[in-house]
Amino acid sequence: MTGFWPTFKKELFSYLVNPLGYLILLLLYAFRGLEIGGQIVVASRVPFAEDQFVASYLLGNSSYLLLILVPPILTMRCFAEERRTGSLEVLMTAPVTEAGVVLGKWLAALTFFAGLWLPSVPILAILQGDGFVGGDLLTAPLFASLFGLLLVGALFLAIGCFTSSLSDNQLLASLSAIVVVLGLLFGPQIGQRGILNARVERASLEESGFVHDTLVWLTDELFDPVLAQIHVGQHLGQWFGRGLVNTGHVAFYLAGIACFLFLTVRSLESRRLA
Amino acid sequence: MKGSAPLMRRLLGRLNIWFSGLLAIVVWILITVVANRPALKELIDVTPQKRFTITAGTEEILRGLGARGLEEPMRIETFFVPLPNSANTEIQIRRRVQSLTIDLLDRLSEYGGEALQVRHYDVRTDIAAIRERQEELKLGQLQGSFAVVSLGQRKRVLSVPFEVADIDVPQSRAVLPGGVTPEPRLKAFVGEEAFATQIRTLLAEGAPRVYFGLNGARSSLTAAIGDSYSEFLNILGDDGFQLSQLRIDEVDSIPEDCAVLALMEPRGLTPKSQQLILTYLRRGGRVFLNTSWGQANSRVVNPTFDELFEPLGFQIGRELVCQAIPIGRDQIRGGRDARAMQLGGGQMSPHPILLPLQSAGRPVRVLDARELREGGVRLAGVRFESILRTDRRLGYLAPFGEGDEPMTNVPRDPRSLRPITVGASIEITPESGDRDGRMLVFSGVAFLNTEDLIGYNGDLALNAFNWLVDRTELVTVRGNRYQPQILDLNQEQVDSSKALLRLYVPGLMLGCVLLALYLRRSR
Repeated sequence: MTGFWPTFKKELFSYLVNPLGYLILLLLYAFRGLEIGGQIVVASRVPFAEDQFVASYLLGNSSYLLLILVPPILTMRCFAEERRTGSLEVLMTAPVTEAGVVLGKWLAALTFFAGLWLPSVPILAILQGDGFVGGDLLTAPLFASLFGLLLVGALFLAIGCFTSSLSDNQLLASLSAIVVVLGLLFGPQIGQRGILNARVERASLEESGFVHDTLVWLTDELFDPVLAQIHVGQHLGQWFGRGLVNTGHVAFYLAGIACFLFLTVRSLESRRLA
Repeated sequence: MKGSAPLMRRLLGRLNIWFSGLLAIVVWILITVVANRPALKELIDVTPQKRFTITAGTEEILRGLGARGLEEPMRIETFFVPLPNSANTEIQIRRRVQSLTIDLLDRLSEYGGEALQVRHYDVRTDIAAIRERQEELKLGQLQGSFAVVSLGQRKRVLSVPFEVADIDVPQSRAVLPGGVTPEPRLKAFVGEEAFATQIRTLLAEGAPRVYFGLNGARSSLTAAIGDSYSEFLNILGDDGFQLSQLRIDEVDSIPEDCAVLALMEPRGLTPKSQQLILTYLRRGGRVFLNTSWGQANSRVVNPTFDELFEPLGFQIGRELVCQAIPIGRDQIRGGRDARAMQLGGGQMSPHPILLPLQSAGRPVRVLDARELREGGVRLAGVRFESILRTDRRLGYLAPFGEGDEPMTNVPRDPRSLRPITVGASIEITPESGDRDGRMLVFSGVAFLNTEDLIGYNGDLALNAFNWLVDRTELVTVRGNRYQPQILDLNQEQVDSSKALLRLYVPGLMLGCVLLALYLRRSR
């Protein structure tokens, strides 16, 4: 793990002094302000539970936009830029290990990513005051939602690091990462809709026979449970966002992070060997 | 061949990555599948009211379903009418309750495993299946959204939302002063209680018959005014008991099919009636009796049931049990609120009907109690156990005033405070047969049709009745109630919140951007 700490410090500093990060912060909270302002107007007209408000604050469209765009943007220059300029080879000749470098870059990006969500806590603390929305908003489900967002973000950042290590073109790296992220966020939803259509089709088939039985097995026994386990959008909205932490989901994210960081290390090693 | 070596190395490098990628993804999938196995995964509920957590009692019943060796799995099926995302409050509430019900049933199915099958029918894709299943269940022409709990041919139907939620529906929609239109309100979601009750009822064999003893002094349990037991009778019926009334002053013996004789605040029990009850107990009968004080024609009525209690080795006092309310380091006072007490785990004995309440931290509410104390000449084979009593620091006795409200005089000597028994269990070795007679006596524990008391004491009541009929698997606490905390916003709050979120916060972020730019330039 040699090289982890210097890499982490360098990368984190570069994120902090880059105005791009603050611009992301500004755009996120401006967009969220518009979104949540609308929710508050709705809450003044129809019964709106406190836990629903917290979930909608953290898991609105702005949050999903942030999850799709920011990790690829933060990680696109991690390795791609350095490959393009040739500084990656210089870095690899230093007494550092690939694992240390990968972990340092990933953790720096994760630290900055986590910092983007931190202002939500004091904002909700102010909102729960008497002159504002009121109620008890700083409850454990808020922190469960933040934990979920952090896990998802960490996975997407690991994916971004991997795609960045495969190419020397930043744009290609970020686009590849966006495609994979979109696949994880919305692919299972599309898959489940497909299964629903298959069930409708199945209803018109005779209820016996190899084709029917195979369709039933594929949809009900295989794809549907697998899609539910990897449906990132559902994990956030139906589980973490409601204050329910499923250790199975946590294992999914941790294993995914380990998988992509391992692949990033392998990618750098194979480049060094080549 | 000169250029083939780097080419080969690049190819090998690419193959290395592909192979590693495939391996890594396979490992990822395996870890995910294993970690999501029901035996390995854990659901951590951090919601304030633990609304995704089911009670230990319900969990025990569900986990035990497999061990029961049921011929077929128990099934819970929902038939919900899809509702649009409308601004109408009632529709919003129904949607919310449907969503809460589905969440709850998915949690229940995780604990029940293969012994409990949960299915949510979708009208978009399952029309034929819905029709077929409704015919099998003989549901007839049920309208609206409902859920069915079934075990073989037996079934129980729950209307959603009305039987799984407590909804406050205004009597009139006329605009109130101030321009406010009354709207329906979701007070509590009681789905776990509702479904757990139906599951337990289906598991219990048979339907024991409870006879409620009545006489001239108390001729009805469901009077519209005063102390009505309607709510209590409903929950007993839901728990699988058959209910009957018995004019105890007009019979010569308690019927043979009587599983429990219930005497709810009896008054005017004649010596003959009391003998009848004693005889019933001595042949293995089961009795539930709760007493209170009362007034009739401005006279205080405090029956003591000497002919029944004394052979069983105890008596009931004439004074009122009160709690001493401290008003300083060494001073206590009485007062009207001294008559009501909340007795927690420390005041309960480890009796089977109270253990679940102690584990769940559920107290019992007591109002206008009288002391149950050992005394008199006890028959052979009678065992008296004090199971509910006031705390050593709390209890004292105050005399009733003749024709007045009960006085709550503070005892001059604080050392007169002592634990006072208000609940007792009596078991009697039978004269014949091998079934012990049992009686549970509670003083001042009313199961009236008031939300306050029934909310606290419903568990105790049901546990008592189930224990008396030896349905020990049903002795537990009922489900959690989820009460949504609704935001209540006025226009000023809306305006200030919008200003914060749309103006001040983005303004602050803009300041950070400018500061970062400035610092970057100055470096």
